[in-house]
Amino acid sequence: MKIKSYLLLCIIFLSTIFLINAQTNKVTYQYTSPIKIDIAVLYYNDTVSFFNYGAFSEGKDETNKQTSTNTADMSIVIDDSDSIGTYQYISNEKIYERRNIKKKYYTIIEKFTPLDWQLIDSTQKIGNYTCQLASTFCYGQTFYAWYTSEIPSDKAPWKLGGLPGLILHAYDKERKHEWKATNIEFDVEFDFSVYPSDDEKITLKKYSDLREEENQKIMRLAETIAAQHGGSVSFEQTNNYLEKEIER
Amino acid sequence: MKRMFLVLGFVLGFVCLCFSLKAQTIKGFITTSEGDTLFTGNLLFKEANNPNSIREFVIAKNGNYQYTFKKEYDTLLIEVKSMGYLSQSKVIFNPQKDKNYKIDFVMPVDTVQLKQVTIKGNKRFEQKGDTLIYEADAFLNGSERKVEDLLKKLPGVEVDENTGAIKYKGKPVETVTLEGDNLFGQNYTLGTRNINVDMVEQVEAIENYNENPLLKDVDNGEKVALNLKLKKGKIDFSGNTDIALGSFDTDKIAANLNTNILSITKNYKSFSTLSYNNTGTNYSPFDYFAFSLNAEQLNEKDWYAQKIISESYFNNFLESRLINVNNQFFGNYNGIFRIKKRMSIKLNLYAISDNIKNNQFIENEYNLSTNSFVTSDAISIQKKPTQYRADIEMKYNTSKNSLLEYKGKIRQEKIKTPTFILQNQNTPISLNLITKDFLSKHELLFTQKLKKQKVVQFLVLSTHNSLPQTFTTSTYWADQTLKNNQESKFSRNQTTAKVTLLGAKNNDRYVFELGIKNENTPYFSLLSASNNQSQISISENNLDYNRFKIYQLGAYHFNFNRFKISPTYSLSYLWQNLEYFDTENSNLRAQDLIFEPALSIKYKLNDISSLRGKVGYNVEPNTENHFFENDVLTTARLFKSNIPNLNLRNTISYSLFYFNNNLDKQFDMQLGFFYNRNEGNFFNRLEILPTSIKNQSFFLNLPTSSLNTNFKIGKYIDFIQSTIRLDASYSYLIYINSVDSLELRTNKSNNFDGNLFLKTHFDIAINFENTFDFGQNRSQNEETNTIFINRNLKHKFKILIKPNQKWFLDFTSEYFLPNLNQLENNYWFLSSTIRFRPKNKKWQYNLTANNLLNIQNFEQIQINDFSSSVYQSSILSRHFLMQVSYSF
Repeated sequence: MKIKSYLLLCIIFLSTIFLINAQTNKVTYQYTSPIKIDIAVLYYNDTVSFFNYGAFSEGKDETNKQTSTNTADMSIVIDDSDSIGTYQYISNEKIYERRNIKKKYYTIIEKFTPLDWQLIDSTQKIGNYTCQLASTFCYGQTFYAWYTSEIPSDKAPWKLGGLPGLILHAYDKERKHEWKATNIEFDVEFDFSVYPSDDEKITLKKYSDLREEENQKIMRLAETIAAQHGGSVSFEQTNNYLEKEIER
Repeated sequence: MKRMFLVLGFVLGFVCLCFSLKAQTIKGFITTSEGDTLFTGNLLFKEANNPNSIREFVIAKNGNYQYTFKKEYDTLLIEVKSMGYLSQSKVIFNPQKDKNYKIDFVMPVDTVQLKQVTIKGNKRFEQKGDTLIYEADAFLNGSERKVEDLLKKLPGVEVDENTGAIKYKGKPVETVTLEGDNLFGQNYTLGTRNINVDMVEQVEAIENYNENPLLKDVDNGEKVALNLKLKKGKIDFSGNTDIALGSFDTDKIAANLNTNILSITKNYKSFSTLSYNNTGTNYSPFDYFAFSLNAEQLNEKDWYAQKIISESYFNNFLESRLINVNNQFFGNYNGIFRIKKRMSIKLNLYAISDNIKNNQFIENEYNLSTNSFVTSDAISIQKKPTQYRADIEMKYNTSKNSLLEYKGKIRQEKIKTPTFILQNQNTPISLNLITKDFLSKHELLFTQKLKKQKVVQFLVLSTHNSLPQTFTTSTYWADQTLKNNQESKFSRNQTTAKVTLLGAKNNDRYVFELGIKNENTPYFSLLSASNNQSQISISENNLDYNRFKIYQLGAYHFNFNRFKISPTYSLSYLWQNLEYFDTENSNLRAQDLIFEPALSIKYKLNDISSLRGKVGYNVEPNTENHFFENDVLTTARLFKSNIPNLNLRNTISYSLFYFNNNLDKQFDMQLGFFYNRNEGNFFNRLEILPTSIKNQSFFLNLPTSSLNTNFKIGKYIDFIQSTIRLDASYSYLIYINSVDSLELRTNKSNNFDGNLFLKTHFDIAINFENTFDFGQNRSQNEETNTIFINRNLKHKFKILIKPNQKWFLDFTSEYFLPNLNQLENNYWFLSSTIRFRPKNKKWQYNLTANNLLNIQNFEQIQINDFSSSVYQSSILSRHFLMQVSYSF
């Protein structure tokens, strides 16, 4: 029994060391959506990935941080005001994502299920890397990704991932959302061990419902104001959200 | 019951076993060369004869992997990859379907540590709706300096070498905007030839362009424009200064100085340039060397008075940069001010002064029916143009749906052309031509949006151009000075008023317009001769030509499926009145009802190619330069006159144009056919004497026709890493002339021009560019059945060397053969540039050498049905320049 405990302790210790000593790489993406063009950054090692939009600077602390006791296989995003943040669990258990509606932030927890990628026999060069095309259907729409097996990492921007190579270019079918890698830095310093934990934890369905509720409020307010001025107002639903459906 | 479950279980188990026997699985263990378990790695499964395509994969965790194949393989190639380790692979020949494979891997540590890889800029272009975005960095190889050099490399974009005029997908661009603002108007070469290429991040090619946002929903969508997006940090205030000094072979100082300043804020945008050079560069949008018209001048041609006496235009078989011996000062300011949210003012100011010199020798041999003789002229010409110009444009949104615009222009130009000629090697003649050109324009345009898809516009336009010319020839003969003095003054006053209705119905567009146009063109000329004792008048013209038109035109553009069908028409009534103040000539009047229909059909074959066809009928009155009856001396030898006629010229034209631009495959192709047939035109009757030529124009209702075809194709070929382009154009013209009092002669002329261009894109330090140009002109006279052929060849070869980011070198060889029948008459120009840009990119140093072999003169021989000419011209001599550039 004692030997078993010591063995377990050693394994945890070694895992931690490995986690600490695993090389961390940084990929910068250009993100294009119907409403903006932005920079996005992905930090990753063998077990952890961290994805963030906006001009992220290490050390920026906008929320309360807390050291996690469950440090294995976790990825964290700290985002600034209006950008979308993504958490990703490599342990195949959960995806953590930090998002906001107006000024209130939530941590959305999803069950992690591997994506079913179809490899397509089509290649192209991105920079000096030979990339192959793959597609998957998740969140109600099809995504395409050009990945390179020359960088054998299954990490990716947003919640895509699980290919046998780093994704350098990804987009949805209508090309409303697009991520294009512009720079890769190897062996960088980054601290994965913190995350914001004081946000209300909800499901993706709950977040979608809250967002719809907020949209309805805005529409009703616009109608009221228009009516006060003797006019009317019409709304156009564009549905530019990345998740068209809740299901991964 | 128990037994039944047992049997069911057995059957299920048997079935599973069968399936498991049929399924092919692979599993194994992966360790590192240091004996550790590999934490994570990717196993890639490929067909061995197609190693670039991954068919299936599995991700190994904690050294273990297991996978059941879904696909079949003839020869299975397994690759294992993991960060920090060298990849390993194994091959299984004829993998058996029912076999389970167990394969372990050992991964050696990879000692190569990559630090950083930049992959930005690989994407060369991107289509977003109507806009194609080119990434500037993806097209640069380091040899480019100005934006025009970049534009020449963009697929789908063509730039005219001489005028700088730009076409996109075969259509002339309206303008080149800067961060969305139309700073330059149609004089966009001010931006493209002066803005440094390293300021530009992207070039956007915009289809369906319209500067007036109120016309967005009703516009026909045929206009295109380019927009320059600047790099971040280049906005606010930036610019560059280039100082180049050196010397010519004649010990004269060579200088090329240029400063540009760009300033962009929320409410103010400006670009200004100031330059001086005597090395053949033209920084302005005006071509005083060859008098090619730029896009703005072509558009405004209707406002200009006729220039009867032309300044010498220099033969440009060679490019003007090789023979333009100049001394040019040029200053230009362009600014847009946003006064309030609804109002903006644009100001464009120009000042130019030049002194272009050229020495020529022209020998003509005439073989006429009555006699034959030779004339020769040794000519020394200077052209001294000066121009001052101010344009102002004010825009005011009177409401959300209306826009008031005022555009004003005032221009004063003076060109002095003193020339010295030694005629027939014994008669010295001194010429002096002074041309003054004053132009003013006022335009008021009001746009009112009535509904979302209906807009009305009201326009009033008034222009005035006066063009007085004084041409003096002085001949020294037998102790006497014989002078001819020719005064010639054309003016043109034009007033237009029109109302236009533009609308849309679903995808269709329509335009209806009602307008009136009045043009008044008075002309006066006086030729007098004087010697030491007396002065006499030789020839005088004094006339007034008036033209008044009331018209209505309409166009409807049907858009359905892939078709766009556009019928158009114009119905007008034209009054012409030609009054001679000299009572010997009788006045002429004419009234005509004119109907001009046209039909255009465009078919979009797919996203990358289209076919356009057009047929049109057009009626035009004759131009005013055919209305003066008495002689006007236009060169030292040439007298012009006319037999005036107010008949109209009819033209029927057909065109067919195919366009294909596949950016993904880096392939583009154009094929066009254009046929015109004119009925009614002015023809020339030439009377040739040893010391003079008389050219009388007369009108005949005889047809002339022309057929033009052009073909362009370009492709990037991956296996040789090179771009190849072929341009070919062919024209066939039937024209009539009359020489030496003979009957009319029908002549046929066909021209062919071919250009083959090859450019490499190797990933090494050295690249090449190679251009072949071949031209042939063939003239045939039907009566004499004589054929004359001129063939010429040009070859340009460029070596580009870029050993690293700091150094750039290029060597250029240009070979010219003006006449393939005279191989000994050839010209070879060498030039070279060395450029150094230190780590601090603000500074740059250049060393340039031009015309290294110091070619002094250029000679070309032209032959037609009644004469042969030898033309010889001086060239910009050998010179070196050391340049320092600073960007801020």
